[in-house]
Amino acid sequence: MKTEKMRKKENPPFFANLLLKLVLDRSEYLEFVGDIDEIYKQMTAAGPHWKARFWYWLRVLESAPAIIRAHLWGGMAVIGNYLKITVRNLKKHKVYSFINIMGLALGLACCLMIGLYVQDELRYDYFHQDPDRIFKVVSDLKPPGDADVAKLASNGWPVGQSLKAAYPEIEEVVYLRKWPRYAIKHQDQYFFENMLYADEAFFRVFSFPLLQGSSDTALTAPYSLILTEEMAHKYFGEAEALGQSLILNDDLECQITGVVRVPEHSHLQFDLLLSFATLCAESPENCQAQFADGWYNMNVYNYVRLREGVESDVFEEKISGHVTRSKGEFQGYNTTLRLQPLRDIYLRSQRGNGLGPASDIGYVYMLSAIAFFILLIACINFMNLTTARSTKRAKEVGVRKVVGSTWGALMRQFLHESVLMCGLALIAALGLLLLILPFFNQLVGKSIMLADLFNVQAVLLLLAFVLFVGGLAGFYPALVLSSYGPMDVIKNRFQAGLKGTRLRQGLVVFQFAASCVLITATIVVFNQLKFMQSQSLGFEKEQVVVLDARQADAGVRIEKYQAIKQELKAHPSVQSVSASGAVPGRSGWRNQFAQPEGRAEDDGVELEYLAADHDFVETLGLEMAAGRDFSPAYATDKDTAVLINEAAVEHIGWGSPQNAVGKRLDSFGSGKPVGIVVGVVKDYHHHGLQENIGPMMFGITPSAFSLFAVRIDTTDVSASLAHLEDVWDRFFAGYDFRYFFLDDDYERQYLSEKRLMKIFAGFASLAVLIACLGLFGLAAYTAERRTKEIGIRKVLGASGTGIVLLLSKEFSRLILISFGIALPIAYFGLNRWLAGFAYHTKIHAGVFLLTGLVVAAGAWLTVSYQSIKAAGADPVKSLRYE
Amino acid sequence: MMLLSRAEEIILLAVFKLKDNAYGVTIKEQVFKDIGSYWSFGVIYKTLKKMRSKGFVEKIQSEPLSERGGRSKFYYRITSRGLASLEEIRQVQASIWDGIQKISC
Repeated sequence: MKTEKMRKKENPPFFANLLLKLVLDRSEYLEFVGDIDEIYKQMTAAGPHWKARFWYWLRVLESAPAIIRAHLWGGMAVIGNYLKITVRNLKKHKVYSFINIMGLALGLACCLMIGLYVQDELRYDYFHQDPDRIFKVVSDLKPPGDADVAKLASNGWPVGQSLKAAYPEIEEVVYLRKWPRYAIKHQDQYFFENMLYADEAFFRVFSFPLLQGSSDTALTAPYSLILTEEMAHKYFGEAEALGQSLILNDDLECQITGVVRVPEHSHLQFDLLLSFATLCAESPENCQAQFADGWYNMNVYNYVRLREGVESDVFEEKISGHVTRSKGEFQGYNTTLRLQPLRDIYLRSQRGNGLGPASDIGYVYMLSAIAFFILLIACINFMNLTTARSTKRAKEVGVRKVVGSTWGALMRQFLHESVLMCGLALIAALGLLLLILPFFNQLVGKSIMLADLFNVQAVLLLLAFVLFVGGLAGFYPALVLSSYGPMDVIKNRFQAGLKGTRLRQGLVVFQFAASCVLITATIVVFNQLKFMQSQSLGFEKEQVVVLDARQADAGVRIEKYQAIKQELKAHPSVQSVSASGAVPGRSGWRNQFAQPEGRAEDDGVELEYLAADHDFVETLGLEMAAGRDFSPAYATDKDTAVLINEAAVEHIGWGSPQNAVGKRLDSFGSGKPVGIVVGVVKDYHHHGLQENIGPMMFGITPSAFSLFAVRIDTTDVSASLAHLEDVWDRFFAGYDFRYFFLDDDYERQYLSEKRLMKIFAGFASLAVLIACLGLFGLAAYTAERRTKEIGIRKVLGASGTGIVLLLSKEFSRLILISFGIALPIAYFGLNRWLAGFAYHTKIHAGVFLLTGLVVAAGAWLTVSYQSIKAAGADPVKSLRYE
Repeated sequence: MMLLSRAEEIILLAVFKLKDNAYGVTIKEQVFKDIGSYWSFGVIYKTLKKMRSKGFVEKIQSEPLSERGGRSKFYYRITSRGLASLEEIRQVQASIWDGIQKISC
């Protein structure tokens, strides 16, 4: 006796057989299979099974071209017929067809959108040559004690040069340095651009296309400047930029030695490149000193190109201790060097980029997963709806069978149909995409175009997708329908399989659970935002205009800040003016070290230092808890007086604010080597409500004054602004008048929460829509199945309402289950999110109630269409329909 | 009358030579014997189908056979029209090659 398994092995390959059955008509199939089996049997008797199976597949596949050609000749008429039937069906059930196609289109559009986004993210830095050999040298900085390692994207000055000298594996080293704070003077206007210092190795390592100039010499000489295309156009219009010059900071004339194109998908972004030699020509002593011993002055960026064949892992290991070997520790700090592959910088950096945009591969994975799920659900819904509706066509199938249609022919017909529907859905999806893309671009800050989709790979992928999903979606209903016996179908005796029902119910539950979670998330994020915006902040953020002089002439704003304040105050609408280094919503100097009175030297505290002047407290409407504000009456205030907040009192452990007044608090790094606390400010939210109020210290430091906060009367804002601009022009002629309103600026801190809410809201509505589609399919299917039951109930005297309730009951149960599943997930997930905020709302029952209401309303609307239709149907018709 | 194509000629001759035993498997082997390469079943069926529609061969379904696991064999037999067209192609062959001894430049 042969076992089941053995016998199975002897049968010809199932799928090859199925394939033949699908494409050939019956007699052709029998002939082919008969002939091929004959040899197959001989082969299985003589040799190993796998060999015979392989042979079988080979025979089937090699016949494909001939079969396809034969079909194309005779097949055109048949396909024409399929098309006709499909179009008739679409027309006959307009609503259903529309819903089904749009459902799939929506899922597809969403998936395509995410696909485009992901494709865009993965495109960074693909224009460089030899990318596998280019690395960014980065530093892990270990502070003294057991503080966390700081992962920096930059290096100390000597690192690059000494690496190149010590290791022959390195072919080239590039030096880059950010932010030369130069203003470009052009036609009596000052402009600030994103400027980088770069040395002459830049073009030997990177492949930025140099449109004009010579890549060998463009960055060699001091005072050489390379512009991007956009900058060349901005400053010189159509004229030739090469050989011209631009003036930096009034007196530094730089020759333009090249014009470069910076691709959008580059992690390195800049407007201008200034030769590194310029830096050293401007301050030779500093340059020399830094290159000699600036191991811990970490503000240069290094890229290296390794020689061919160098193993980067091994080499990384080799250089990791380079700084320690060369310099050793510095005040307890220790540096380990790492190599970062060029193409990992944008997505996999985890230490920021430093020189341009950076993203996170985690988002790419997450979004891909979301896209996959949405598409999967949309496909399954499509399949469900098609199956549910196809029972309507049982009679057509019966008649076709009676007149001699084979299983294969029926399969082919249904597959053609669903592929066609899928194709229509794709077209609709592209249309939808065209509509959504502008909003999406705005949301994610990219400039993705639909045209990005039309490359060979993507188009092939889409076509394959249409075939695959169409095939998959059509396969199940086709299988079910074509397997009924013709008499069963015609006599309407067939049982629409109960097997699929569980699956379908499960799917609906899953979809609604997902919708519930997303809706709850949207509501909670919204609540949290509202909460943060409505909390009292401890200062008055309204009616404050802040003049932003950070990019204006530093000499003027520091020397003449008092004169500027006087002039600003000269207008009746201005109530008070304060110069400071930062305003609420913007960071002062964080992590400053301060030495409170009576503590050991190495036992200081860390706090945030804010450069502020006499009127800071008054202008922002802060309150004093103890002591006094800065005052011009005390001549010593500008040198030694400091204010602290209550959190700092607590942090230092001085007990009460009263107790703190008069104590010493020295902060050498912040420019208050001798500090005496003259007053304590009541706590206020300098930063957003994501953070706890941290210890802060305020001192008069004119060199850091760059913002002028002006409290104005709001009766005539435009007049006030005109006055402010007038004063600005008197002091900062040629510089753009920059200002912002304090309350708007403070809101900026909630940008990511706002974005999150938009994303959640978008996905939530999509999820609800798709879930309702799934429910619609299920409801249609059920109503179809119970036609006769409903007829009998009505004859026996059931009311329309009773039947609607009966039909809705089943679905209400499903919704309830999904709600039960979603509730704990949403609760725990969102509580974890909220825990990230120092100040947050609670999730109360109302949130879930609202969610439940929204979902239930959607579900009821969907189901009621079907159930009312079923309840209103004439029982005579439904009972007579066989 | 349209002349036979090369593929038709080869297969039709194979059917002719096999007499009463011409079906997929044997035709495939005969073709291999004649021209030295295996043709796929697809090509053989396609060609036979075409010739059937022209009336050169006829297809005969046998009784279910136990050796084929209860399946029938599908035999092909050449018709008189098929024979005529074979005769015709032989004459054409002879006349177009007439007088040529050897192909060389």
